[in-house]
Amino acid sequence: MMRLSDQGIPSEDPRPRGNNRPAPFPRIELRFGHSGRDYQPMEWLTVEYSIGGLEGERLRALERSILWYTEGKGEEDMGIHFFERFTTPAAVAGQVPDGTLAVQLPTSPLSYEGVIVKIRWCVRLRVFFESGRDHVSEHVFTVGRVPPSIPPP
Amino acid sequence: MDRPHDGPPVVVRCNPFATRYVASARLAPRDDRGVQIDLPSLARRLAGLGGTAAIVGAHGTGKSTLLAHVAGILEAGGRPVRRTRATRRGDVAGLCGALLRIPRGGTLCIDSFEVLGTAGRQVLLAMAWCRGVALLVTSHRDLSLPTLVTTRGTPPLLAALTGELPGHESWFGRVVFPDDITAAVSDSAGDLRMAFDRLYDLFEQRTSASVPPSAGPPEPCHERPLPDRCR
Amino acid sequence: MRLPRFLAKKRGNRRTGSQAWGSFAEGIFYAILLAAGVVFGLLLVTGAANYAPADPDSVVLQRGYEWWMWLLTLLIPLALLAFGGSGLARVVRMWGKSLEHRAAAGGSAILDSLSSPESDTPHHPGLPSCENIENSPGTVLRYRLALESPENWSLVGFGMFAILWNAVVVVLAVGAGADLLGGTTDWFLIAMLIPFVSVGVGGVVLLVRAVILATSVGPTQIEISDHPLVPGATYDVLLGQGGASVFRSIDMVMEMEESATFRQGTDTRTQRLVVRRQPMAGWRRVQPVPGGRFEARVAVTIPRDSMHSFASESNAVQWRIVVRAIPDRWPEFTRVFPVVVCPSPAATVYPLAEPGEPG
Repeated sequence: MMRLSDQGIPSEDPRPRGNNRPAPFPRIELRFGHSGRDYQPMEWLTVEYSIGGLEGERLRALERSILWYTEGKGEEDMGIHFFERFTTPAAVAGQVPDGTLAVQLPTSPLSYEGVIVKIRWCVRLRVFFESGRDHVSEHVFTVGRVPPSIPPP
Repeated sequence: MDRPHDGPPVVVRCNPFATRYVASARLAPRDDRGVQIDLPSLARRLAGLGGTAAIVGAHGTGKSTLLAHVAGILEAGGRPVRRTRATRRGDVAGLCGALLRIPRGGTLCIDSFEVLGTAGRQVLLAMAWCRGVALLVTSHRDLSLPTLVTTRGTPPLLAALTGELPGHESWFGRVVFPDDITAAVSDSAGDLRMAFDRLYDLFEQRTSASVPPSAGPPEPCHERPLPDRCR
Repeated sequence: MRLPRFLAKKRGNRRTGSQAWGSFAEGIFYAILLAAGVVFGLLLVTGAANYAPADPDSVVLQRGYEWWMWLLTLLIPLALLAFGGSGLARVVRMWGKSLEHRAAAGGSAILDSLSSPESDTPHHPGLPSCENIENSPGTVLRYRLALESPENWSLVGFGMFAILWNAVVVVLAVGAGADLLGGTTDWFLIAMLIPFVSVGVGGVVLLVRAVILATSVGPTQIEISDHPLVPGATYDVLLGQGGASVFRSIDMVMEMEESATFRQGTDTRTQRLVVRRQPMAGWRRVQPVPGGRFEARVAVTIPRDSMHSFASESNAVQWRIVVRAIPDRWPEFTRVFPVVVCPSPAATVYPLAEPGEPG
């Protein structure tokens, strides 16, 4: 499993746009295999997505990943379970505007709603534009059915 | 592809005061009145000061946040920028190396400049002057450098920052109240990082009260599942 | 067949791996000792021997070597020869024999033979390693748990600090005393002595307290019937508490603790929070057996809905068995024994269709 450092602020195109138009904000819709978004370990996660609102901007690359991250009081940690990157025009065209993803989930870590540590699973889609900017869309789902922890009195 | 659920939906309880949302540079920089800082004009003021200046303020008042944003503006303007953090006196050597790698006309941003000690700071300043590289630093106290901004942690600032956190409209005024903001700033003596820490605990206690501890599947609670986030 | 692990820890008399490999390694060890004895002895003898000047065909020993010198210098190679030779002979004699056969031949107590400690559970990403625990077999139950922060190290730390600090105090005190005797009064030195002596006394107090805990209170040992733990399963836990004094109370608790590390300015801080506490057992007015220890065996069930152990760079969910004891006339102490809880196996066996087929 790969581990990525925190991505920080997503990059915006540093170069001023010549026509002063605001950069398009892509619409990424994602549908999970079942509506509850709750999965069990080792279950197959299937999603269908569609990327719209590109307004003619060309995509340079597309990344699809399934990962867990921590949330809470500590620094954010992340573990990549699945990662795929499409960089050639043909490969990107095959996954945009519509695509599907099917990945078997691991045995752990389970989703966890702790007090100062929470573990979340998500599907992340990141599109890279020819202009240099990128846009990421994150869609949370749960793995396992661990009940939340309560802060002690 | 749908399959029936075998229990109530699992709740995802998003605490908006988690590190993920309040860490440095995640929030827009604001002054002590809570007004968003005009970064381009701040960059012009920095240029007027000669490029080398300090952002001065106590712990947790937004110095690192502001430093990150100003660095971003400088980079957007085509200036080579490198960002670093000093943690102890011995970091001087490494920072000198970083200085050497920045081309003339660039800027080295150093967080926590005061920990380097007087001698270390003088060495870096001299080296930067010789190399024609600017230093933009943060410090807890006045270090005889031109001051770009003095930061302070105040209730209006914390209230404004809180307004940027996810789902603000759903929990502010229902789970967290304006008095909580004021009390958090007061209890933490203006340290906004500590204030966020206190608000995190407060949010957990108040929202978890509606989720009873049990050995079985969790009961659904009024919080909606974590919305999709588009950044 | 499991390969030998040369750097693995071994406790007690039980073997944790293959008998054949164990015996082979043991044989190698004794053979090396035997060879070392032979080589060392030969070097010593040849180094002290010279050809007689008058008769080149005869060898005489070097002048100046007394008999006791020979005894001393040859003692080491002789010991190596004896130890290595006897050990090698025993290995050859016991080769291929079962544990029971060895025990009957050697007269020692027969212990349960161990099945392979290799875990059958699948790899669980995000879980901390169990290797330290699986490398530590118990004497009654399968595994002996390790202390989170062994007190030996704190004893060494306190001891070194107390010695070094008080050495400085002595030097300063001698200097001040010499000045006084010489008729001069160095008030600055005397003023410096006061805080130094205070810290030195404090260091000695801490050291004495640590020594008392280590000797009078005695060690705490926990053994467990299996590891890693799994939600829904029940385990036997054996508590062994040594020491000579009576304990007013001993309590054993299973805890789940979250820990989150974050940067606060130039500091890195870790916050810990116990979110689950499950009492296991408690005893009042406990008297360890003289010359032995207090022992008790309890069963613990990990709740079915438990979160598993988790470890990442800055965040963790840790399970541990905590023993809190209040000795009579001595301060209360707490000893922590980390364990690892895996995800429930029921959750890992999901009868699933392949993707594309109806779920």
